[in-house]
Amino acid sequence: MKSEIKNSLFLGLFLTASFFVLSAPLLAHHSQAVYDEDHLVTVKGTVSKFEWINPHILLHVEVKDDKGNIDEWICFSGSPSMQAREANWNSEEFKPGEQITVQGFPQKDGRKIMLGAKHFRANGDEVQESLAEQRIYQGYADRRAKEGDKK
Amino acid sequence: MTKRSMGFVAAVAAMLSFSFLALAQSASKSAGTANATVPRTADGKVDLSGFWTTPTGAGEAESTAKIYGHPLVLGRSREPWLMTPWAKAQYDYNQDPTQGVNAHGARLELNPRYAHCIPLSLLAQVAGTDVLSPFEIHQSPRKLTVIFEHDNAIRQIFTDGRPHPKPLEITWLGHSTGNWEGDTLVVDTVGMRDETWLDNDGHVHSDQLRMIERIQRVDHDTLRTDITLEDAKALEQSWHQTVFHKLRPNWDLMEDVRCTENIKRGVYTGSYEN
Repeated sequence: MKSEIKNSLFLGLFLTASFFVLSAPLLAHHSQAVYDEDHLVTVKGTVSKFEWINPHILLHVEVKDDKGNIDEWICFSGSPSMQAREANWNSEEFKPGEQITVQGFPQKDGRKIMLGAKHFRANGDEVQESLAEQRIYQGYADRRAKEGDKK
Repeated sequence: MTKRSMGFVAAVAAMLSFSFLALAQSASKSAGTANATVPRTADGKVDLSGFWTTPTGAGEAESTAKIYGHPLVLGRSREPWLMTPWAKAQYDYNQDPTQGVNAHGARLELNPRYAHCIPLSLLAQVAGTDVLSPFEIHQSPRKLTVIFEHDNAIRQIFTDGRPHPKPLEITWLGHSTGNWEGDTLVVDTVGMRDETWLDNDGHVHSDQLRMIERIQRVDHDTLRTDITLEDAKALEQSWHQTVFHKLRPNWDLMEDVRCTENIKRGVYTGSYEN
């Protein structure tokens, strides 16, 4: 009896560990070369456009610098189906004119395009994210924690 | 490594292999016979109707891996490919990281779906190569109609005993016939166009591809599909994969026609253009 419990415990641990090890590259989806998942950028600005389109929702954010110059960032999210089912978003999740802060991973080519991993409303409320975004952000956080341990 | 720790590792390995054997045995015993919670149609067949998707919900990865007896990735088993030299050369070309951006597992500018607006292959639709694979099945005695959410593609599996047509029309999703073997629906598909990749890694196939699916509703909420691919031109030997889907009784299909406008804007590739 005791060995049965031990047996299933080990099996459970093995299956769980295997799932995370094997799934990491798949869950990184669009990441392998396009986005720099080791650098988190924070963009604070005004929503200029919200595109509820496949295969990726696009949030356009205008950011004003000290001199009044405006830059536009484009923040990618998952597909409408992923965001609707996993994060409860709809086509009016973000409205033009709304103040927003987006944290995410920039494209490696230096253009102002990012994978939006976290969104915060003007009052600081965090918006729910789909599973892929959650895992990508968690991956970044885990790597950062690991680097911290080494130092 | 100390003797003691080596002994411990050996014991764990032995226990793991034993438990996999035990699981595999119990799985094979139940194969082909659906349990009592599985709904049936008026003609007594297992009813496969419903909205199904990749097991990403809480606890679903673990429960499907337990049914299968081995670890799964997003409800799918991972299997090695034995390619012919013809297929291997194309695969290597599609993979070459010095020649382009290797997002999605292979060179993005070559990916038929992401760069050239070509529909997903049947394997990609069923096995969810494109991350998730949501679809809805409508079953009648004459046929199963499967609506894949990706591309809003429609597939028909004819269960009225008809053979594949002659001449065979070559189409994106091919021609599918289904036969019930007990509670398992065995689906045979041929006549698939060869422009698609089998997956995002750049595995190719010819129009000789044949896909055999053994579909079982193993419990009320779980669909298991054992896939076999045969392709004399592309595969040295048949390739197998097991895929699980979970029931989503409250989900409805969404429009997901992906490439029409947005591929040109680079919304797939991140090379976004306004």
